[in-house]
Amino acid sequence: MKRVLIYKRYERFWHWTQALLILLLALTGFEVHGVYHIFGYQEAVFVHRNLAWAFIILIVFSQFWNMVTGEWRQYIPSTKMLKAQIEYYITGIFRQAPHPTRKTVYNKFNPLQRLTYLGLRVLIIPVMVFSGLLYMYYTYFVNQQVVHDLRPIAYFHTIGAFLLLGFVVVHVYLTTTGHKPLSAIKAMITGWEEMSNEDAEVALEENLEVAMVQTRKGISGKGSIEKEGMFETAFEDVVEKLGIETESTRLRARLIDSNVGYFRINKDGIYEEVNDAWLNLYKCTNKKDVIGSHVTLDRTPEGKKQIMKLVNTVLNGGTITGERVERVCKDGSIGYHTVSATSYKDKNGNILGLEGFIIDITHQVEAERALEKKITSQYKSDDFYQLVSASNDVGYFRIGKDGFYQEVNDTWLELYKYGSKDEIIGKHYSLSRTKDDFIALKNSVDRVLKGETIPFGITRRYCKDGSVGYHHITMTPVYKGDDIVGFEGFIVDKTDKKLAEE
Amino acid sequence: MKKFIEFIFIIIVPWIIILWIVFTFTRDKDRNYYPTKDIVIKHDTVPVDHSKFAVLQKKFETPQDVTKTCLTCHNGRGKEFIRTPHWLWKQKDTIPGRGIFDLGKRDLLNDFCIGVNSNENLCSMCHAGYGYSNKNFDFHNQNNIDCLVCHDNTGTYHKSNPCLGSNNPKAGLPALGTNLTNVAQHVGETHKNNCGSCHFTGGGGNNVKHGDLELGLLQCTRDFDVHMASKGENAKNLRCEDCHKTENHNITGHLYSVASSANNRVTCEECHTDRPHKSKLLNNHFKIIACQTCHIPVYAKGFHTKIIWDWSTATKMDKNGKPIFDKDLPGNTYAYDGKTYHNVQLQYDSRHGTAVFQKDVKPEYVWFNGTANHHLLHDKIADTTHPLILNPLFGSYHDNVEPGDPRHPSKIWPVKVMRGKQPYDPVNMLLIQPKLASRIKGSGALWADYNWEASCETGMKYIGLPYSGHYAFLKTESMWLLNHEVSPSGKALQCADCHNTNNSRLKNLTGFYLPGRDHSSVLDISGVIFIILILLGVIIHGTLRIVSNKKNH
Repeated sequence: MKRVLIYKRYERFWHWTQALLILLLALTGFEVHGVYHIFGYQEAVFVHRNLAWAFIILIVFSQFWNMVTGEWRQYIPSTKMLKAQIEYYITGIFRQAPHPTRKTVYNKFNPLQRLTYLGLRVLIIPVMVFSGLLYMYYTYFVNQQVVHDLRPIAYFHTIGAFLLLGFVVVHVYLTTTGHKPLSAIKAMITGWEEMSNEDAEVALEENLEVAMVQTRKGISGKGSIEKEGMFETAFEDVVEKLGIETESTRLRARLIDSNVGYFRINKDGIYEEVNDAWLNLYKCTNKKDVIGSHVTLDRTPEGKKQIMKLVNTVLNGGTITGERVERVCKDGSIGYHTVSATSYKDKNGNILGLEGFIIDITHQVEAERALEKKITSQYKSDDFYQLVSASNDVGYFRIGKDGFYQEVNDTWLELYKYGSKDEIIGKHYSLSRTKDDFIALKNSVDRVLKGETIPFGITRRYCKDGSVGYHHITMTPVYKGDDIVGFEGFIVDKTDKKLAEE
Repeated sequence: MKKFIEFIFIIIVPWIIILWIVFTFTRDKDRNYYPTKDIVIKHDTVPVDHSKFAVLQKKFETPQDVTKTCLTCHNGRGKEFIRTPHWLWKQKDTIPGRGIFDLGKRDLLNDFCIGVNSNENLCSMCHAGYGYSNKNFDFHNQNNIDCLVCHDNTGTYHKSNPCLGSNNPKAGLPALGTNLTNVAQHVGETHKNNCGSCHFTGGGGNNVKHGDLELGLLQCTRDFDVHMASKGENAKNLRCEDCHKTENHNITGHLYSVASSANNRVTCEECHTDRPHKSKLLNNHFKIIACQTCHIPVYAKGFHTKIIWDWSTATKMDKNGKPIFDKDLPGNTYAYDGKTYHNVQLQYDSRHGTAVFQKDVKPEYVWFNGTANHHLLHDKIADTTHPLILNPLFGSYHDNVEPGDPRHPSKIWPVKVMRGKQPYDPVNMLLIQPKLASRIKGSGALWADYNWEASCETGMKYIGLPYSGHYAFLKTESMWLLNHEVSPSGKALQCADCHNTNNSRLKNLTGFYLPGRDHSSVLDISGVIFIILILLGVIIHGTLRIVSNKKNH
């Protein structure tokens, strides 16, 4: 069982507010109708009026939201799968057949829902609002030769009320037809819907697919890149699948801005489109150099084999997410990225090619590889130091057995906000910690000094200016001969992530 | 934790905010609200002391002497007064759709003591004049004006009631032993008891006729009448003329049992404006509901009023052959015209027949546009199967929706409906004016001879209309719009008194849709069946799912 994000915050707010308003409107409305006595007639009338206005305001907000976010498209009725959906509710559901349609953030409604909700939106709700307003302000119309009798107004309002009540009953009942009886309601509350692994996979892929379409439109100028809300939500799903934690919107935005490369390849393996981020990652300057060339052009031999395997997977209708790939950049340097791709199709469903994202992980891979190398060469290689200390993305440090800094790189200084190495070398590492943090860190340091390599612990730092930062830290011992004389490691900044979590 | 906070902020907080707003916010404030406390009542005072006037320093032998003396100073007032309905007992008035008629007590029949003609000797004890004993009374003789009955401030001046004994003067003369000099020296503004001396006791006793005008108004609290209250907290103690503004002896106010057009009326909004409520919704109700409808929830608060008068049982004698006078009958229910009246008092009198009295009566409600029709003396009776309405009030819901005359939009009004059976001529199809009041046996008077035939014949002859020699009794109704005994706001009708399915006060007013009272049973039943079918469908579907689920596992 997996969980997929389906409902945005505003949608959840809107749904539950609307639910409350409709139920209270029904409760007070039927009292005004004379069915029972709960609030008292007068209170019922005034509350009903206030509720009506609250409801109208909510409708205006929601229609505005639907319009600007493009969510209105979700209400466009479609006969595709309509029969299947009806058949499912009539027969399939009793055979435990799978749902014929899947819920994704871009296609929240099955065709039956689309039709029903559209009916509510364009027929029932307008009739209720219009007849309700006439009802409320009847005395102002009655002598104006416009309206002569309250009766038809009241009857329309009552018919609408019964239809809405019927809708609510069926609506609530149908929420139990999800993965588990309460899945749909939980989804409406938390936004995340529980699905079977299979369904989640498909939902995720569809989300990815739509994100691709949006990106394609943005790049080709046919659509607007402003659809960032949709893009990001899809992206959130995708990167979650990739194992990248993206709770922070800022971090995510940075990822998108910085190093998410987009590409599209036709079924012959020829680049059709790439974005600027892609070009940057490949250190190309001219798009024309790339478009038209084959996907295997800039690869190492293993790389070629791997990439063709992935391309073929997608061209056969599969989806790849978060595959690590090596690239050879224009200047001959080697980089690493993860690639997520899916096929794109023509109207008839024929696969025309594939498209996807690449996210740069070069520094991460390099640091990992160097560490691996250091470990395999029995901790005696200097490569790790050389590679990591030169890195612009990770901070390097070396501390002696006694706990005093021996070496840091520029990135480290930057993260700790020091001006030069002189300010820190020779100082004890407890300098920038609180007592608790120091004790925690010292435990780790003691383990490293006994020969362990500790990867990716998270720790807090106090920068020179007093601000607080967070980073992942990886520590490994430094040997001289067979003796451990200190420890070294790299830190990767996670401040954004940590702050977002808090 | 993060999700829980999100849940609180996205769902629970908006719910709380909305519930709070929805249950506390009142948008229903009328900006033009005119509070009652802003109303100012100004009283004129009489700056002179009549007891010092030389012309009044003498012993007056006859009441006409007093009037003559009054007119020596108040010259012109007599001329003024003899044009008023209080003197003429009629006025020119328009019946919409029929024309202009002389309408008034003199020429209209009612279902109390039926009519003035041939009974003037008794009836004129409420005439503002002296000697109106028959149709030949000189309505131009100013000396016969009774100034004192309205302007006596001593409280000792009463008109003689000829019923109290044969030696009592008739035709509106003062009671025996009245000190005319003392009264004449203490005249002044008209007070409640002056007006009340006739208007509170019309029909033969306290509150018999109007239902909302009774002696209790002279000494009452706000619960009884917010305007005239003279006892208890916040008593305004208004006089009649504070509302019934009077100029040149023309007293405003219109009683639709003797009038028909919408002229010269006294309305609540003259003081209260048409926006007396803080609530806009209530002020909007004024477009179709008269103030009186909500603010007079009951009438006859102090004393029983007569609601049914069955003349057909009159003339029955007791076992000794003697007439029965004012005998209370046992029982407190009375069945009449298919309806049973509860908590009533029954009375029998050989002169009058059966009378039904009720106290704390809930009004009936009608559409009324300010004009009325009248069954005139010579009008033929068209239908004897239904009660004849003597003064049908014009108005309907549609008169409000599509007002032919925008000045007369119909509103819902509270009304006392007086019901009765009174004699009519089944051949000529005319209502009968019987001769009732006389002590002389053989005069034809019902109360002397106990003979309907003689009574009808004498009465009809008196008014110059044909009588076939046959009489029967016809069910009649008359409409008495309620205007007095206004209750404090806290005791006014509440929404649910009318907006109510089972027991709406307006249940007899049809032809329009009243929220809370009306619904289409077809629509409601269809709606309920629709919901039941849906529930059944859901239950069956759900059960099948559970069953099939178990099977498949």
